[in-house]
Amino acid sequence: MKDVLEPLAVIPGVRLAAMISMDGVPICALDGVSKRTDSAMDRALRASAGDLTVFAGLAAAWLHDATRAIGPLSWDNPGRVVLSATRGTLVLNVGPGAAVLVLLENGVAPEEVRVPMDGAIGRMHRMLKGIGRAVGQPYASTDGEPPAALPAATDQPSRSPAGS
Amino acid sequence: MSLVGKLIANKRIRRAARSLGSDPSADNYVKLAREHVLAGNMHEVLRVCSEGLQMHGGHAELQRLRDRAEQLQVDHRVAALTEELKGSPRPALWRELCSVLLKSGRLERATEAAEDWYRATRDAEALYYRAEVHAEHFFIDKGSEDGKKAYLLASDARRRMGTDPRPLQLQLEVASRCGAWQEARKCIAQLLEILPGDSSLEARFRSVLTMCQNAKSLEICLKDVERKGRFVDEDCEPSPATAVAVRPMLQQLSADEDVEAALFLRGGTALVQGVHGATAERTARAVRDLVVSSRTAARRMSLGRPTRVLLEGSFGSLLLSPGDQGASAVWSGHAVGRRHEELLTALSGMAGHVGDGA
Repeated sequence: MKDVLEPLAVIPGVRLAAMISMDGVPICALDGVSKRTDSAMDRALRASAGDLTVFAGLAAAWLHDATRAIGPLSWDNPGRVVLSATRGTLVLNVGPGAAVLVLLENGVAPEEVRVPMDGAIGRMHRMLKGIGRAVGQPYASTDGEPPAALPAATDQPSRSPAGS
Repeated sequence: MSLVGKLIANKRIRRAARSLGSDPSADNYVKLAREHVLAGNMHEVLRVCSEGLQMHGGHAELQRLRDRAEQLQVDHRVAALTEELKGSPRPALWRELCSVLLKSGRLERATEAAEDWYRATRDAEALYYRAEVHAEHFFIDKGSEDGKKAYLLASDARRRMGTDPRPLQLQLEVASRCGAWQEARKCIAQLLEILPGDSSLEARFRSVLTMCQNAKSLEICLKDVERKGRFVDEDCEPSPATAVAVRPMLQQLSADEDVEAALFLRGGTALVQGVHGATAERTARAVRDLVVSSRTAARRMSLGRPTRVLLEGSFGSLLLSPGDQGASAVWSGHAVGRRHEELLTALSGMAGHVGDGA
């Protein structure tokens, strides 16, 4: 799972890259390279937002609020939401059943992580497909056909009629 | 810079000054300011930019140059003060360092400086500066915790600073902005003991006295500010002057083909361009809900005051720019362009200048 987020976490200016479920449960998280220094924002995050669980919950709650707000307009759910504020920027990209969350340092443009986040969503898609294939491995070995309940007749050694 | 370098720079400055003399355009001001930047004359850069901005108010490049020059000056002063404090720490230097950092909006550095000062000397004034930093945070982020800390630290500082009115003035500002009128009344009464006969304080005392009945406690008021994301003095409807100034900008925004709607919201009023009737109402309501939820979320996540909210999906892009007293938004069928973003920021900025451009 960390492979999905690794390319995001190494981008300068990224404080946190995480994958969260749609109900706000953190699935996986990586500290960004910018987290090496103990900045005021980190302290603020620790002091008030607490840990990642709280932060992920708040981010997911905001995503739900945003979705609910635009609901009466008959719009589809947003695929990408950005909240830029005075102390940093939160970017959420919605994927299949989960969202990729990135917390950026103040002054970093959200556009800089657009392509890497799209890439992370793509990797998440591929990984889920991979999990699907792994579960269906016996099917794959028989050319996509489910295995028969009884051994097939062709599997038995053939007996040729005596004297022929 | 070498002597030859200085001679060349002076020659270029003279040439740019001559061009400016013959044609005082914004571009020529920028050219002269740039020559001063190359020569390292930051005072001259500031002087030229200020002069240019008086003639060509709002010119982006001149503003950028002036801001950068100011920033550099602050950087130099902060570095010099920090160096001097290492050799000879004294209250005057700490005071100047904290003031410079506060004025330049470097609140985290100001906190660190005030804390270092307090650790080193236990000076009451350091407490006051810590209170001021928390108050600045409170005014920007509207977090109740910052407001409470500012008030308590200022209260401690007041007890130890004797007749210095600054802590009381800070307490008064915090209390007044969140609507804690009982506390505000007490602060004014104490200020009047220090500054007897101050007519503005006396007038303020009388007006606060009328609001004291049924006033909430400071803690409740601070929580209210955090919840609503608004100070009590911001609860006002737009004046007709603002509406007049805003409408042409909204029309300019919605004139583009891509733009489906452009909105400006303030209090209970919404100006909408591009969509009509029930759709306009629904869109305005959605934008208002988004602004409120974004403010709350940003505060809870310790991200500070939201400056920009963007939603993208099959509907296109919805970009919001929440300002201090109003919010503007643009809904575009495609990605929101840089021009739209600049217009939107300008529109939100207008909310703070009610009378402008009427």
